[in-house]
Amino acid sequence: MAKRLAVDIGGTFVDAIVYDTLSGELRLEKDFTTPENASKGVLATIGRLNLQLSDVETFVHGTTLGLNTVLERKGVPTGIITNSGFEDVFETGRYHRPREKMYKLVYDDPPVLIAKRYRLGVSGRLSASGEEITPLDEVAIRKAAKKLIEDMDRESLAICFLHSYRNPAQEVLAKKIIEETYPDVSVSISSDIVREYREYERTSTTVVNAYVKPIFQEYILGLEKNIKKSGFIGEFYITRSGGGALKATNSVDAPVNTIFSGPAGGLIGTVALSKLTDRPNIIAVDMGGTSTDACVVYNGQPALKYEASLENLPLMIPTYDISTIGAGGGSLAREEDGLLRVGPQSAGAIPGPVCYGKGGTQPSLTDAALTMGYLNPDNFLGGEMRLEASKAEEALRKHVSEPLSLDIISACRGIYDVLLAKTVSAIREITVEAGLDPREFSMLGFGGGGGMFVPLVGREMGTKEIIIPQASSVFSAWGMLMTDIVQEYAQTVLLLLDDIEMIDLTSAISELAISAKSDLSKGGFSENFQFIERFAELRYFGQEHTLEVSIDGISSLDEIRKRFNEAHFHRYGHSMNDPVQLVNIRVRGTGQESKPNLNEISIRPFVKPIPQLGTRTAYCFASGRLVEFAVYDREALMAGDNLPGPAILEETTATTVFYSDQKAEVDKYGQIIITREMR
Amino acid sequence: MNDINMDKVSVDAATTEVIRHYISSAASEMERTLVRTAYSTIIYEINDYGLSIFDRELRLLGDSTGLSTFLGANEYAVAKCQDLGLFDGIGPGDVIMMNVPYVTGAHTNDAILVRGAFLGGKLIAYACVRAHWTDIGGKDPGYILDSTTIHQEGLLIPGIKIVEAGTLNESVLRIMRANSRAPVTIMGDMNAEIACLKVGCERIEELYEKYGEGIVEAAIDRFLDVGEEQARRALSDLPRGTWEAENWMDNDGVDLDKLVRVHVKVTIDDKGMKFDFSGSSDRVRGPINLALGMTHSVCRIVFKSLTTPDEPSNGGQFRPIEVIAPEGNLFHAVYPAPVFTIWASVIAIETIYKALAEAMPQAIPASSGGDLGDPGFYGIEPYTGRQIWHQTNSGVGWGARADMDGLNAVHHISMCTLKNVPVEVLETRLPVMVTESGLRQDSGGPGRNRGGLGTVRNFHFLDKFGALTIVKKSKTPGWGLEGGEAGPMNVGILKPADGDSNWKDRWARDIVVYSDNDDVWENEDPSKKYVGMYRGEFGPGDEILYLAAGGGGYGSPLERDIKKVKDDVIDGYVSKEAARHSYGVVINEDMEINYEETELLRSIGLKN
Repeated sequence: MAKRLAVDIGGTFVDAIVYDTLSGELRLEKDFTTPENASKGVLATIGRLNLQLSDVETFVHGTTLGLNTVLERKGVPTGIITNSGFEDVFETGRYHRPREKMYKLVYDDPPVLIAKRYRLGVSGRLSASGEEITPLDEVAIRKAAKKLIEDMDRESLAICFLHSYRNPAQEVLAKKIIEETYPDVSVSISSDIVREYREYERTSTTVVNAYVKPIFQEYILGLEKNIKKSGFIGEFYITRSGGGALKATNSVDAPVNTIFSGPAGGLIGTVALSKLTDRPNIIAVDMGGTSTDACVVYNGQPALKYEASLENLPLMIPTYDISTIGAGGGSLAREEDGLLRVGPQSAGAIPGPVCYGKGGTQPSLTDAALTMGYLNPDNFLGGEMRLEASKAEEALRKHVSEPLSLDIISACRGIYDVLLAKTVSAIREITVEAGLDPREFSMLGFGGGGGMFVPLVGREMGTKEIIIPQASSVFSAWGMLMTDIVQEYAQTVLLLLDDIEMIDLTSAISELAISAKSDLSKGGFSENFQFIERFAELRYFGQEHTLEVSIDGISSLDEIRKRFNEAHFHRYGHSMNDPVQLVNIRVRGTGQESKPNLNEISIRPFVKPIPQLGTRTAYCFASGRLVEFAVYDREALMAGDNLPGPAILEETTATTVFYSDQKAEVDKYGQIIITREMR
Repeated sequence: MNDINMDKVSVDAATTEVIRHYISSAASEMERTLVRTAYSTIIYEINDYGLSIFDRELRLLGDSTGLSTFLGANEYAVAKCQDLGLFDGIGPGDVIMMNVPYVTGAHTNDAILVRGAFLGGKLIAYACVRAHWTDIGGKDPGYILDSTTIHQEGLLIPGIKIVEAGTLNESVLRIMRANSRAPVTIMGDMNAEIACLKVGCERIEELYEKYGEGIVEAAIDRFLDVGEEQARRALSDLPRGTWEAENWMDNDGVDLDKLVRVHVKVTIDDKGMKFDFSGSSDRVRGPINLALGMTHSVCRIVFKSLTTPDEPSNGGQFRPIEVIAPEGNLFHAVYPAPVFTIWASVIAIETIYKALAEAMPQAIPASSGGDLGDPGFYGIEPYTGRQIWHQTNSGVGWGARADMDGLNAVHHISMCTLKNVPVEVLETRLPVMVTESGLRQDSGGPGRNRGGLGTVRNFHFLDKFGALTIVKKSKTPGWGLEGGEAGPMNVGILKPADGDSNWKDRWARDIVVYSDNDDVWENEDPSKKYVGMYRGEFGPGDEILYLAAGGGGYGSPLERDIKKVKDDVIDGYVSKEAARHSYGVVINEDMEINYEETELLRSIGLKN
């Protein structure tokens, strides 16, 4: 019982990592994702680790199942019950089109997820303050449920009533009535999932939950059964979209909270690394095949947001505030109207970049990297695949360099530059525009393309350093090992601070905190391992958007006002004398898990020189031309090794590249720390 | 990218793309700053603003428009300001403010604020913002619907330095506060605007610093040229010729019995696309005259939708446009014509599409619901004691296309990115309860492809409050294409509180109806009033039911797939009755198709 297991499912690969808490040993395996039956690939990858599952005390899992279920429209038949007169809210939304379609006369919007016929209204109404104006029509609830379930074969129901964020009683009653008659039907009520106002967004969140719930439930419970059959008796957790993890058995009630659990692992890992290596400010950049995700950790805290969207559906769930750039290692480059365009189309896993020789013809970033000399065609994925350099170059010539009359290297450099500009501008949005100076941050690069691209991003933005962690291509799975158990509780308040009594506020917060503590205790965390954080979402009266500030340890409303004024000034450069309104209070309960430490690697003995594999001619962004790069085997590097740029570090699943105005040091954890070379 | 080739003539494609991205993202950064710090719903919810970045020659480099209506509108405005000498001697930290509508191309509440970006003391570029202020002292709170001169539309600010070298001009602020019914809100919004200009200029300054003036300006030349090439290439695929169309506005807000003619002649030739409004009504007495800058924006929206809908905007894309609107015409207002309502722009967009539909029926949809709608609420917010203006808008149906049904319940294309205020937010802030909010059955114009459905919303007053609906397309229908038909028109139905015997006197005193539509709808129920535009103070128990029009259909409804008609009936988009008399499809009691009767009805083309 001394192992922790984490499994991350991506678009192409399942990554599994196991940590032995006694020996400190980490092992990882990869296998292909099996989209038709996700648990098959998970079990196969776990199988590759060759484990006694009875030795595993916790198993943390991140999955894109919920996400893909919605994207592929493969959820269960779902119905909606709402106030009569409001049956169409889910379809009409807020009457707007997305910004990118504002000038489009073509209607390529996805069809409504739940057809009008499956949306029924019942009588019953609450006022804005939560008082009952019209009681719930219980007969109508029974009728609606009968129609949806018996006549229309709906297997899951979403219930959303106006103002139920204030008073859930009518929703709770409706659920109870339905479950009495139909115990096997899945019922999701909005007040269980979101306690904030805005009916369309809350309905949408509840509908997505209802739509994926039975499928998610079947997958999670099935997987749990399977691993238990193989001897697993530990705790099984699912990572949440906004960090932390939930007990798998709890996650099945509100799977919408784990819908972005896939990319969360990398962020959890970043936060852990931030603590373990005492780096409070990190910009995490995860470069995959089709997209690049960036997120900020500031003062040890990851940036969160409270509304996400999935296709055209808004979701009121806390998620990491991840900025996604629709371009990654597989993004395709082309000439268009005399300009060079990169992405958003991607070569994907099939056919993949041209150099994979699997039928791709359009050049990608990876092809440019190969042509510029960064990748070793004979040592890709540890030699499992040979890259075809001539094909890559030919495609680059045909599609980029000839149409733009650029030489081949300038064409490749141009592809990097364009992607670099996109990435930098996305990162600026979450740093500079949020009042954060990138020069005070470390940049952490991971994912399949992290090492070959992120050192350039950090160089461009002038970050203090660029870190390429150990096993950077499976860093997200490692992150899952580092997770705590987290649950959030929120309540809409909507009062001016002037109209609030501190005593009422304190009691509202402690009510939330009590729920948090009781849930943590139920989850097996003793008092010492429970952490409660309190936040307020505030705005100047009249503003719509809120700022979240921590209200831990405050004892007066003036202190809250002061913290808000400071936060507003920090973020927007001005604060005002206007009344401050409290919109929501939030409590985050964390159950702390014991986690692996970073392993230290040996220091190189004085007598042993750093082994160099050789040199390779490659394009140097610092000197602007082709130069000789030193090539090293990353796995042979030892703590304290200093490497001058330009250099290329090869490892089985990744390549790290840095340039002549940069240098690298291997720290005691085997991380590559790249900094500017002062000359 | 420190390895830029310093040769000014040959900036490469990658650098150009990088610089273009930087400028677009600077505009977006300005926008986020504005939205996140603004005070009024009309900015942060309704997105009633436009932000732009210009080079020193006032060429439009990047644009972030909350509403399509403001596409490129700032370009016209800054050029006018330049002509007036307003930028002469502009220095670092100066902000120029101007709200004279004939210059800005909007109305008094949409002032533009402009700040220069400087490198080493030298002017390199401009950032510009316009955002709708809640109140700047026009004759009525909320929105002005019946002014007869610009001097009833609020304080005029003829281009002054509101900020000089970083210091706000307190005297001007005092004048503004004294003239506004919402002084706190407009001061908050103006702070947000000034903050966003600072952000935009800083970004541009950084860009010039990094690449050097030569490279940036060469890149600008290049991407503006590419913008033009893209537009011209798309244009070359469009048919050549001249087409015209007319359309009607309900009235001008003052002469209530007179429809106002909107007419446009569109010519596409090798030079570009020409929009000629000469055939439209002359200047009218009421405030629906349009400043020329807005007329330009209208043409840009249509042009962009046909040429470069997926590209971020820049001035190059609009070079092939020519706009003709003689001075004194409805579409070229001159002093002292009243211009507040703006709505001629909404109607003009539809009219241009109507003309072009003749030229390219495969590419252009039938008419949409043709307008915005729903009540906006004005008055003293109970919560704060502040004057507010909460606009809500209706979703209309969009027109069917040759290849598909129209969209249901989307704001008019002139404001389609706008998010409507949620019912739960509205009810929290105002003494109003919404008792219904959904799709309006049978509002989609019948056709082989059905027009999208409009919406229906019912507002019930819990206490006294002001409300008005701005709508100028409630007396004449839209249109279908290729045998498709228009749906029913926009209409508001005002209902007095149950049991209020005094309502007639009360309404006569408190409510002005600009478009009385009882005749149009053959209303004989004295306790209901069918209207288009109105404004006034409603009392507890009064209700406003607003029904927004659907889009026009495309192709003969008798050719609509029977299965689709059945689905529409099951979903309730179309009633059984309408299925029979509009589509010739008979649906039985059990929701199955009666093929026999359907075939008979359809074979004789009989629809009744």
